[in-house]
Amino acid sequence: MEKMLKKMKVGIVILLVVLLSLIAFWGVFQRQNGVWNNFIPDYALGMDVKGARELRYTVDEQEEEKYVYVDENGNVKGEVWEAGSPTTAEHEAEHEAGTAEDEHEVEEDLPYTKETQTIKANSDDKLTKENFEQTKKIIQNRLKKQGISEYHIRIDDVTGKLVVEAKDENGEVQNVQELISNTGKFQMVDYQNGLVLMDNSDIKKASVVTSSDSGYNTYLQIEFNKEGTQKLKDISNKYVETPKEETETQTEETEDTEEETETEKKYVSIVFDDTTMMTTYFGEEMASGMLQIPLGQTQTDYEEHQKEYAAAKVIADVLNCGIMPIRYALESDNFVQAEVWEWAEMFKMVAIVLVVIASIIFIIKFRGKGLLASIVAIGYIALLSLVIRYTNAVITQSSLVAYYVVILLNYAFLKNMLKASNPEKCYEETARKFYLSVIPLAVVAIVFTLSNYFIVSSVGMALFWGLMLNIVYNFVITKTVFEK
Amino acid sequence: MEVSKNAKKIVILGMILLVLAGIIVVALKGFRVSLLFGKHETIGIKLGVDVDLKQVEEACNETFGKKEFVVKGLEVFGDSAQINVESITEEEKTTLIEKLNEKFGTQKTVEDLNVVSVSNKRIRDVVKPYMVPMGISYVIVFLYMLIRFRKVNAVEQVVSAVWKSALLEAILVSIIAITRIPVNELLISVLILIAAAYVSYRVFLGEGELENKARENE
Repeated sequence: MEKMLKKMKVGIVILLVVLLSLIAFWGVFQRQNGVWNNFIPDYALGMDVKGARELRYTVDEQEEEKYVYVDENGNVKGEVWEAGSPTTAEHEAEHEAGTAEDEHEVEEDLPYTKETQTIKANSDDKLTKENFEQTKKIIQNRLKKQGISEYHIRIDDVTGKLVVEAKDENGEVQNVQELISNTGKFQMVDYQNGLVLMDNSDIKKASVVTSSDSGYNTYLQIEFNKEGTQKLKDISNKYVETPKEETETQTEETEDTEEETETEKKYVSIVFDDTTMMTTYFGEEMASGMLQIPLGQTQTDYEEHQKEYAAAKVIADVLNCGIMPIRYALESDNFVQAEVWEWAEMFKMVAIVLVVIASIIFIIKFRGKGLLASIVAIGYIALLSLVIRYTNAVITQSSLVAYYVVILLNYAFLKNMLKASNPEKCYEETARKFYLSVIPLAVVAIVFTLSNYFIVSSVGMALFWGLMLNIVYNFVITKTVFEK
Repeated sequence: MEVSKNAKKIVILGMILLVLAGIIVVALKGFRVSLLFGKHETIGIKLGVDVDLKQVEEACNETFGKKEFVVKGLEVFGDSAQINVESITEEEKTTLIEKLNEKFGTQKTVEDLNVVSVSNKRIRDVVKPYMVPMGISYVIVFLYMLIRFRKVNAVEQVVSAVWKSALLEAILVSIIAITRIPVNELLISVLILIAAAYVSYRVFLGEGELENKARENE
């Protein structure tokens, strides 16, 4: 009777294994809108198996004539502005002639000369191997800070050409493009004349803060270093709203001047990568060395706020990684399919061949028990394939190797169990020694899974799920089938 | 006994020679990297018709002969292809476009080929992500071994596991260098998993020793 029960139990387990194998390798289909759809989710594939967006960049060769301030050493100290917009020498001359007649404005004396220069996006002296290397490191840091771990980057030491392969999912490519196209140049500029008052060298740290009083607000918070703090303090005392007494009588004569007659405001512009983010004046002294720049509008929708937060985080991360010595221009953006489809087929074929060989060896060596072990082993592979799909573990070329390793480990477990001296305690005898032995692999699995690098974590995930399943599956299925 | 000792000496000598040969090859010629890993040319072409990549491969075979190449689909519309090849001459460009026109019935010219040089990936860039996790894993595992095998020469076990896994990796890397097996991400992860599996094997042996000791004590 007991023997009969045992046989029934084994039979049910084997049926279950076969059913699992059918579900995993064949699928569960349901007819929807006249089409048969597989219920079992697809594998999540990594960039090296599925394909990637290939972004090609060249060193930006744009050049532009600009009217700039130059110090005594020939260093450009900023672009000459007129009320927030770049101006030219000719325009300024015309304007000065006009204002001289009217005696309308008195220009502040600046310790710089002004001249028109051809400014290149990347000056020739910047195009060095060291700068290309530094640019690559900065891009890698930016990607890391943004949590983008699945990418490949190549840079040509000579031409500086850059190729970045990134995953074509969740808007990641747009994010990558933004991180590369921004050099990270920060400037606080005198709105009146364009003189650069502060730059990246004054920044200690940038971060994003939010407030949610009457809606969500996002701020880019810039913390300045010691020098920057002093500069900000001086600027916040100078660029303020002051009573405009001297020019009152003159402006009274013109139309629409009621407000101007009362106060005069001196503005600063916050410029990020040559784009003005904000123009403002200070209402109080900024002595803390912190500046909060509001980004976007007050949002009542949390999702919209999240988008604004993400955009602000990009700016903060770009600022924290330092200014890129080279400015890049996007040359092409293509989705390139992986050639690995043939590899995937090869992996499948190799796996099938190995399973067949292992099954033959088991059957020859252990006869009936060997056949049972082969079926149980296939069940493990089937269940593993389901676990991978339901846990969304991403398959990469490297993780496929890890899956091979865990499948082989399961065969090793079964072999040890079949060879165990005491059939009544064969599971216990095998499991103890086996699981103590795979502790190093379990450690690797956990440590790798926690890695920030996608390729490493994909290997860790494969080992982790493989080993976890090994413990559960062998305790539930293998033990039931083999232990007397 | 004498024969076995001599055989052991020969094996050790062989291993040392193999590693030395590997070092010399790496110093003189470096590793051979796979086509997509190394510096190469990519040729993009939009044919504007349904592209069968097998036919593109055939055209490449006829054009490049023995040169290694890889064909990939470009974009998702199935009308473009990317050919990766070590180098391409003007003559090869002409032949390639002729072959493609012949196979797909198109009227493309050499100017339609978008040829771009792609720089190499660095082996150290691929290995780097693994370094810290591997280091942490090794430290944890060796600490575990020191505790677990304290009754059966734990230090000896750890030292043996360290140098033997290092030797194993050195031998494998030397074989890769000497036989000019192309290095790629896959091969690197295989090497790393072999190292991890070997340490597991050492723990397995240690467990055996512990069992024997327990039996002796009984």
